[in-house]
Amino acid sequence: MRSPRHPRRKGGRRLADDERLLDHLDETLRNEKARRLLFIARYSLIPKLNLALLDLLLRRQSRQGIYLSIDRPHKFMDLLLRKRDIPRQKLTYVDLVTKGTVGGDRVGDVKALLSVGGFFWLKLMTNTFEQVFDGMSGNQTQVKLEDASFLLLDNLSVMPAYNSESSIREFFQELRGLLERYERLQVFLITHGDIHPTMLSILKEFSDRVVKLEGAMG
Amino acid sequence: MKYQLVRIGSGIPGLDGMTQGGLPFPSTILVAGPAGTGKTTLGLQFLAQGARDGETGLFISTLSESIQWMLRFTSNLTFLKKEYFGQQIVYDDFSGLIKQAKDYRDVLHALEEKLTTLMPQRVVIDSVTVFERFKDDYRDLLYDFSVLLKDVQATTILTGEVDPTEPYPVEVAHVVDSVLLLTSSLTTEGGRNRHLEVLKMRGTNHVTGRHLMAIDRNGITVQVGMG
Ligand SMILES: Nc1ncnc2c1ncn2[C@@H]1O[C@H](COP(=O)(O)OP(=O)(O)OP(=O)(O)O)[C@@H](O)[C@H]1O
Ligand SMILES: [Mg+2]
Repeated sequence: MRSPRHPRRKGGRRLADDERLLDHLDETLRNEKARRLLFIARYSLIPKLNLALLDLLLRRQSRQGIYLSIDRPHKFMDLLLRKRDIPRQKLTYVDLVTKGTVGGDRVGDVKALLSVGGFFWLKLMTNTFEQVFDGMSGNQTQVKLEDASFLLLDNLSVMPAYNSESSIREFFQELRGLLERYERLQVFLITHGDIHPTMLSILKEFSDRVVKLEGAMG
Repeated sequence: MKYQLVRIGSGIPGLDGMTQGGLPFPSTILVAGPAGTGKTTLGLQFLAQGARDGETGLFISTLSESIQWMLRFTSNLTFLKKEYFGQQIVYDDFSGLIKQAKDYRDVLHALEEKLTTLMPQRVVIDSVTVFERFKDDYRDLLYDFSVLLKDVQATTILTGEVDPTEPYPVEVAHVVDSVLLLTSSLTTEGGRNRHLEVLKMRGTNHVTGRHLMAIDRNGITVQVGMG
């Protein structure tokens, strides 16, 4: 079920441009069947794009899913969502930026999230991703892997700063496996266009749809 | 496979050529110098460049200057279009809050509120020197500010006032990613030469040394190679 298109909320802060981006994404992604979507936007739009996608998925589409942060601590995204009254009860954070142990952390009124220490953990991601979710199940994890309908990665352009080409390829290989095992899952990847050509081709090979946000939108 | 830092145009003719194509994004930059050396002008030029590039900029004044005075003093600067204000460039005066705040976290929260609402790509805080009143917490304040500004994904210019005998505010210089020094010196003819120096810029192979610069209605221009 889709939520009303323009619900008026009190206290929610949004700017006209943000609303336009949200509408644009809503139209672009309507009935989208692709399971691996790559968004290419201007570097400066990436934070807003992250936010707009979560707004669309969580609020307008009432979906549940996973937000995997490589670029920025999830606490900041959580703050942004909170400020805008975007529901966060159906979101599990997997944070590769914030150092911490595997386990539940508490942010505001969001009960469960995953905080997995260190960028270099990405290499190990291959088969521990599910194990981590298993370990977190029960009252800890907000959204279980099998119930999640999306997995959003905040900013892939920073990935080569912390990982070798082979571990990046391995990561995407593993993500393919994950998508095969969890058939409801749709993956959203975000990058800007000025990245190493090899990285861009890895991302494009992985994706079955590329959405370029141009002009004022990108 | 090399990772490349994103760089954004500084808006200062000559400067991007000294810094491998622009200022790192996101990052924090201290622009330090004695009175009248061009810190505010540099900050405004930086925001005007963002406005031209379709970005949003936030100018935070800590010096209790109303927007009306700021517009009056900057009205003959050719790069600052009136229509930027309130749109691509948002101005906010934090001076009252800073004076009243019992704890620097009050200011931090106000800044967080502003940043999370606007989500600007460029920020100028003119100047950070007034924050020295939070004495023992000054370093924590600077650290918390820079974490917040990086999280929001902005390139931020912090201006810092120094007296002519002090090269730059040391506490701030350690916390930021880059330091630009603005200086002026008396010429033998009794005039003044203005200089710009990139003291540090993380992740960047920058040109070193002092370079001659000029300020006129078009803002600052750096003459690279002219010391
Ligand atoms: N339109 C202009 N035409 C020519 N010179 C100008 C113009 N605007 C500014 N200047 C020069 O730039 C100097 C001031 O620059 P600015 O206000 O940016 O300095 P500042 O470092 O911010 O000073 P303070 O520490 O006092 O805030 C002026 O004193 C003047 O010499
Ligand atoms: Mg000034």
